[in-house]
Amino acid sequence: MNLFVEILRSSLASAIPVLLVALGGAYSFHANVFNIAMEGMMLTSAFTAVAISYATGSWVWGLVGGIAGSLVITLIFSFFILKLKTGEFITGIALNLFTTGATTYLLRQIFNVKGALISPKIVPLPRIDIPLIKDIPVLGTILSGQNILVYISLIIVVPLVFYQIYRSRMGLRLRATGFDSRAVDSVGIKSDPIKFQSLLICGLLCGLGGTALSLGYMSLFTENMAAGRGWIALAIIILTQGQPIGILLLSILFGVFEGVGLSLQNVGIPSQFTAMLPYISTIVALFIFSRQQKKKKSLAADL
Amino acid sequence: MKKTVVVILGVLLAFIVGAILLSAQGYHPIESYISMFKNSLLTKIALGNTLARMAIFIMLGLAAYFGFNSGVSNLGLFGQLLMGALVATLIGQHLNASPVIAIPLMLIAAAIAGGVYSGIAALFRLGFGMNEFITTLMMNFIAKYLIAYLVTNPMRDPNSQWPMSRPILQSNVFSRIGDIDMTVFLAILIFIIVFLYWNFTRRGYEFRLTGANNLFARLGGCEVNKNFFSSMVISGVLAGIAGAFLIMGSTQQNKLIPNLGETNASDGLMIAIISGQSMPSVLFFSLFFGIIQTGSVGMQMDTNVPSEFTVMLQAIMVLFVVAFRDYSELFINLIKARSKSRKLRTEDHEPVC
Repeated sequence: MNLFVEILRSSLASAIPVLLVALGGAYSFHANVFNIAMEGMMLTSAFTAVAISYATGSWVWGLVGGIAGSLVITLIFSFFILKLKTGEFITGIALNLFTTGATTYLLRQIFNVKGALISPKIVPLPRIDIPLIKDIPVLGTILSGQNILVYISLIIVVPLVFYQIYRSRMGLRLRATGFDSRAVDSVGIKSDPIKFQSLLICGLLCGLGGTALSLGYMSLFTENMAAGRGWIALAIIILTQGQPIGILLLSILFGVFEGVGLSLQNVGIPSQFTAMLPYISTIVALFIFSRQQKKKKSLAADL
Repeated sequence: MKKTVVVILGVLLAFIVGAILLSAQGYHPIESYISMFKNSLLTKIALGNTLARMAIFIMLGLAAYFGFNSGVSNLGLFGQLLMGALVATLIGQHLNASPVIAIPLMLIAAAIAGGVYSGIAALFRLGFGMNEFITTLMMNFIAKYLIAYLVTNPMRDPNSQWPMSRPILQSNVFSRIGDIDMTVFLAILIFIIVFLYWNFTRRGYEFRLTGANNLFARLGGCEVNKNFFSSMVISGVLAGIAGAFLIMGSTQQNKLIPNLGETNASDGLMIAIISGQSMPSVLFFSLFFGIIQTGSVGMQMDTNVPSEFTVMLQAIMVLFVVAFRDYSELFINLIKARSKSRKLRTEDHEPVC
């Protein structure tokens, strides 16, 4: 029982980075921008958040630094695909490779370490105890005492994203742009600024996600730390068609898989196999999704 | 011709930006660059290392090129490479036969392993419509952890302090001609074969057509799905051979190590992106990447610039080349359109009064 609670507790913390990045990706998904640079945005913000938290000794500045780092990559990406009209796929891959190289180099250059930066000087995000819930036996252990970004994303970000995409004017324009950008242009709304806006919000959320990873879920930076989370987020977006609630559920599912993986190590299963679990489950999820799509299609054909 | 100029311009600019970065950090940029090229070309051993690196880059660059230009997003080079390396190691440790038999066998087995691993992703796509770039990427991580498990547990060399496998038999390692590893000749041979296949066979034409315009290829009667599968498999085969090179090359460690090929696969992607749609460029940039990576180690000793600098230099290069290549077309079209409209304005619409 105790183990079970512990799994759920760590699942929630590990789900948040993916959740935030996937919510960001939902914006570009609805704007029909194929943003695969999310992995790079996340990695950059994980690095800048740790670096600035280390330098200033303040998690607030770390958070700001994480967002700024991600926004820099977002600006480069937007400049490339919107102004220079480069291919989204190639640009995204190139940026991912660039961020891997740049963070590795800067880690070596600034901190003079290879591989991982672990230091007591890195100030992590604060953990918050919620007064009333804290005392409820099981639920309290799971929900209370998580880092601050867990609460911010669950209580503020998810509803806000839902509202903005589906209920606001900006969201309508966003989805219209994704549906047919020429149609939007023809009624006098410029589609490029809308795409840019969606990318900026995506960059902001990826920045939060990267920070939640390196200052929340963990309190360190390792080379290539995002470890495919940006891609898993992309898979989640494809699976849910960019719906915030679906993203929330699948991200938590991802977190549970990671948590289960970590706890299976105690049972004697080698850690390398348990580390595979999130990736295998992503493939399985895509598989199940595609089977359902196929069934729907064949049903439609029968009618 | 225009494209070559664009690419060279991009590379030069990346070097200039690199120089600015270096001098901003208090290094001497020109000295560092000279040291980089000196340490990769001027001694026989260094040249041998550079060429051996080039051989691996050619295979991975070709693998990525083949995918990108036939409309297949194979981002799983890393996983396919590891599978090739794993199979080559397993055979190489145990098969005590004449090298004439053993070495080709290892290469073919590694190629099949790479091909099977990418083939799985291709089947996922064709059978179930799962995006291949996500599945191949996820399979990278699965392969990486599989290798990490194998070298720490069942395949671990009991005599070594760090997790790694036992080396393959010495007779199964490639020999050298002078200071040049056999893999170099083999890679160039494979390059020539792939080049001819790509440019002068019907299937190669269909691949190019599908890459340029999938719909057109399908309406023109190409079996798009079959081609998708073959080009994915060929891409994996090439990556698998690269994995075998990493195990069997005489300049390599000849055993499985945890971080084997981690950066090489992304180097291959970069080379393919820079090369765009010109296959000979793959050869050139493989050499170029070989030069800067081999040189970076010597540069670190000479000038204290961390060897990781090259990773960033390469990535900047990729960004500049991508930017220049795509924008130059847009820019030229824009100028053409402007001059045309100006001409039309002055010719046809002279002021009436």
